[in-house]
Amino acid sequence: MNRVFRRCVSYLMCLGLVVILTVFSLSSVSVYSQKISPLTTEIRGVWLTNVASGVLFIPWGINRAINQLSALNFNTIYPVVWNRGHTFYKSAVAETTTGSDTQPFIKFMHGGQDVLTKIVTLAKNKDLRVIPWFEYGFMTPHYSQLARRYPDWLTIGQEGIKSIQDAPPEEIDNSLVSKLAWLNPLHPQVQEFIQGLILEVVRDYDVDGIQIDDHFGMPVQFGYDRFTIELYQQEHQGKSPPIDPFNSEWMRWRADKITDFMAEIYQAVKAVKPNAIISLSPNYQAFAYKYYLQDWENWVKKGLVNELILQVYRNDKSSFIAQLEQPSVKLAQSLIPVEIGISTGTVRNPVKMAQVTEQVQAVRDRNFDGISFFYWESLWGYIVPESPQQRRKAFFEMFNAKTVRLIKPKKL
Amino acid sequence: MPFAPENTRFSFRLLWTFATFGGFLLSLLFIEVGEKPDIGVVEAAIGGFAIALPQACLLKEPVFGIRWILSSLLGWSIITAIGIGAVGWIVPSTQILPLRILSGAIYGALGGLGIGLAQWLAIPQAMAWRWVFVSSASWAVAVPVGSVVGMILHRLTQLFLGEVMGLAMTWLLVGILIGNAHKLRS
Repeated sequence: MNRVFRRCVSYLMCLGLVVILTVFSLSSVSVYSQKISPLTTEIRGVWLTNVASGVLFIPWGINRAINQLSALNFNTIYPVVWNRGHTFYKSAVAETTTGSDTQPFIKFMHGGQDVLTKIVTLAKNKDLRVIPWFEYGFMTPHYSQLARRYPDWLTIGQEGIKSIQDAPPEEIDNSLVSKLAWLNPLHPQVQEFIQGLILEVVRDYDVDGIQIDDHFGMPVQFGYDRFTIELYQQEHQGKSPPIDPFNSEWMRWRADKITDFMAEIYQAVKAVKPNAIISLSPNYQAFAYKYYLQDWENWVKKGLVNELILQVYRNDKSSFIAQLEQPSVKLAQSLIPVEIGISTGTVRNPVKMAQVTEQVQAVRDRNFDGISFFYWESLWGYIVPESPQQRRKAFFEMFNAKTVRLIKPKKL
Repeated sequence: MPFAPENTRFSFRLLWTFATFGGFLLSLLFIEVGEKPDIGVVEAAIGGFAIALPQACLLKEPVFGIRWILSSLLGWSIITAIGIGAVGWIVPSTQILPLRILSGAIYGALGGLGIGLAQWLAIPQAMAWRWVFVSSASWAVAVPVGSVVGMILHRLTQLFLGEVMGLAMTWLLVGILIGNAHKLRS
């Protein structure tokens, strides 16, 4: 009797379970798709990186990220394609040069499939712009194949200093990369390599452009390698570079060489795909020039940049606003679309949603063209102070208006 | 129902704890920890499945394992549907310590009771009521402890991850406390 009773209860409960799951799965459709708001042209981007983030490695990480971003009315992603001497797409150029066509772990996790192809396909279905991000620029770890195979491609400081303490914010504590080598941006073979990587991305993928950032320059203390010294001597009647790395003429000479290379990249990209956006995400002009010889204000004036995203990763409100009101930023605003890069936090520096909201408002108040967040994992992952659902709700409230897709630079 | 020899019993308890804890880690791939309204019945069912699956692998008979999975899934779905909440994946909204302890004990006991009752359908009759009690008592202890640990870690690190680690503590305790699980092998 007891057995029969238990069996009846079991059947009834299983039936109940089916009913419950059916009812609740139907009612749990995302709330984010239910509101209708006016359209806006605001650019809303996010950087997807491989460091301190599983998004590119977890099998469904990319799908989930793109679906969530689309549901919350984001319209641009900047997926990493160049980091620590590896590419995150199948690169013939990298294979020839370093012996590896893709970063090995991501290749393994995706069963050999090309990650960038997957990102582009998924993003296009959701009407998101894809602008691959060459995060490491001229940086490469000493242990990378690139640094080991081509030591003459590296630039150095005085007295043979070979490294610089310059890790991206998300890997500031990673001792493996805390000291990095620097490819010489003036070296023709380095230029050919970097340009080759950029061009194959533009040529082989349906991307909206490419992005370089603050690592696309040369630390001011570098430039004392043999190649650069000889080049300088050729152009200065045999004179050696000044001992002071901050010597204004020596800084200008190196910065102009980098600007020349930037112009080459611009022309080469436009020759392959005229509508491709050249996006740049630098630090503020004074810092970028003084410490990385990256004269981006000049790049903007020369028309070598189609879209600028100024990195303003600051917690202090007045300091944040002061960065937005710099003359170089205003000048860029008058020429090209300018966005502001806002930090949503890192493990070491979690950022409250209230600060993100406040900074977005400050950007909007000053009529910038958009915002980009650094980085995906701290939008609504567990490395933030609030719960993921609370963060998403706050982002949706900020971005409840859908956007019109911007394809061409609007002011050039 | 004979008890397993002491050494076997110990190793089974250890395996059971690993299976429970591993199941929770596995569930995090599918479920996003949040506050009570954020975790619906579907998520709870998925979570229940993720926990029960590795546990079922430790049970001797496949039929018994299937019943274990179905009953666990049912238990988690029901306690979520009736408003107790998926206690294994939710974080209390309050930051007041005594309230966390009290609500954790109450909801833990109720949730454990619900899950235990559902699993009662799958386990041998002789130990059924004891199982329900052990389940309820274990959750009543584990939820407040994990909740307090989570709150402290959250405050110290300013990361929501602290709360997730608190839940991991809850599951670890549940795995350890439900020591009678070794009898399910018989």
